Amino acid sequence: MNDMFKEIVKNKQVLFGVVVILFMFIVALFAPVLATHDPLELDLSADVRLQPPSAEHIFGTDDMGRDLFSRMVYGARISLSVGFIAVAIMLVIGVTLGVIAGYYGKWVDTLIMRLVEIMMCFPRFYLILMILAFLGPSIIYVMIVIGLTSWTGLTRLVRAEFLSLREREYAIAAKALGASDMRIAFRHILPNALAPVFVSITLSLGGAILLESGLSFLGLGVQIPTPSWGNIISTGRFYIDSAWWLTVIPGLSILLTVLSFYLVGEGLRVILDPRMKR
Amino acid sequence: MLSYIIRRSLLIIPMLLGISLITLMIMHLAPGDPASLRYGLNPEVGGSARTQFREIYGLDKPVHVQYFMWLKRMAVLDFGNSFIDDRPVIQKIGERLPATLLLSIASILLIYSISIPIGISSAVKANSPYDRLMTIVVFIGYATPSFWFALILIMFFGVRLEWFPISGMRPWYVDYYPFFASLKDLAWRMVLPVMATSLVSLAGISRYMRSGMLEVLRQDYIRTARAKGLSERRVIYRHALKNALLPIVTIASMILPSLIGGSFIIETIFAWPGMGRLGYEAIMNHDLPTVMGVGIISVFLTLLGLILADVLYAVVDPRIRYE
Repeated sequence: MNDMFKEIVKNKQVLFGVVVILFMFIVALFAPVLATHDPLELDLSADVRLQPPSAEHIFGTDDMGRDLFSRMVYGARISLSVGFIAVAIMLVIGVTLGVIAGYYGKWVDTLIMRLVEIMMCFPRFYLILMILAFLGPSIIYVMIVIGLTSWTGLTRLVRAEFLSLREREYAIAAKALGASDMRIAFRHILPNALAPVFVSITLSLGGAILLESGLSFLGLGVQIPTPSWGNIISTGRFYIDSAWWLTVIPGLSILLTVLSFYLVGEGLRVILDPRMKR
Repeated sequence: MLSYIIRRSLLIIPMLLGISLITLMIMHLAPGDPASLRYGLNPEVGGSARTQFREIYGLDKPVHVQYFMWLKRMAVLDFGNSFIDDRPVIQKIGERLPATLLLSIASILLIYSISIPIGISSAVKANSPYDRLMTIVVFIGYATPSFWFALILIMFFGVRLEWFPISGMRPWYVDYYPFFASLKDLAWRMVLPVMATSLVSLAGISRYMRSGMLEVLRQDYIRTARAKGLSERRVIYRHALKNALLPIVTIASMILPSLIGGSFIIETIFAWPGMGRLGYEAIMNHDLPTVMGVGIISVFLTLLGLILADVLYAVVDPRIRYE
């Protein structure tokens, strides 16, 4: 564990990612303290609307005279919580199906893998749009739908690990000792298959945040006036010529956060995979 | 070869059946029944007319009967008529599909022509500062929201510099242009949307190319080539490259779903008259038949790409056919 910590500090990409993610977490956690204004407070007077960054409004204001900095800070809460809840749903489905497919093999495996292939053929973004359009836009649905449509990669990963791990001596020994299937799968094999799962979690967190921003941009995710990075950009697009900060600032925040998750994921892949060490 | 193609194509039948089941499930998520989606609160369409509507579409029959009726129509690509303008959905899609394919093919070409050189040079100089820089660059591309990148492109190249047009594919006045001038106008209008669609996929292909090349460079025949005293250039471009390029063919199938998925948002931003924008508008208008038609055609294209890639792979690498 100590070694791993050292590796993380040594690897500058991962360190960068971890620092940014921690920073975003702190921002999201202390949003009420950090926000300089009420993120929902409207002020339609001409000298407050669409003002560029200044001492009073450090990120400027939007078309309704709301303080962009405060909206960004609260938006961080939305982005991170959508990411984590969606990934938690993905984790439950992905790991369960992967374990079942990899451990039992045979027709169960074939059935689950066929389902994975079918799911992978759908353009995921359109599938999500379709479901959200029918259910109506809501942040809860966004979390659930992203989770429900993103488990396929994880299932394949866990299954592949299980296929090789279930033949190991310790798994066979546990079976010989009369352990139940559930116990062998979840207590003995799963802990040894966790490395790629961790990598997949970090990468999926980035992916889920990216998806949420796209959905909110199209108006099918988080609904105005609740601030989210994606829906701030969707207002910003109408003022692209006059108020660059409404587009540039939230976009860079999404980019930075998602990039950090990807860098950490990629770094973890190298650190956790002994085969890649030389 | 032919038997391989046929065997591979037959595999899509169970896939299509599964897909149709999932699609039907989603369709049933729609609130209320299709009759009220179609006619809404229109007071002219009363209870008996709505019953007639349900009869026409077979909605009064049990679910499994409905499923087979639906399947039979899908098999001949009959998606029904749009709720918005009552034109056949397949006809609407047919009009929009070329625009989407044009954008997708141009994007694939751009993605390949950028990421293959990046992948090769990164592998050749593995773990060098250049390699690390390129890793970061492609990761930034991967993490960039494509809709945001599109807006930034519009902001700089469209609005500030006025280099490229920011919306539409074929304005009315192009009809009066000579052929080559209209082609040039089209190419000009494609620049920004193609750039916006391509950025995301750079990372996948270049990383894949890099690891494939690294793998090849470790092979015995490369060591032999070097031992023969061939120049490093010749070893890399003549001996290694050909073998490393093989698997990249199949990857086109990997980016196709993401290109089609991306088209829904990018085409909407650039007002590109493609299938993606049609699908998005249909979703926003609750135009059920069009929503389903676009969905099925997208899946169908993805499957087609998948098979095409497999067949291409079998063509370039004969070992595959006999497995």
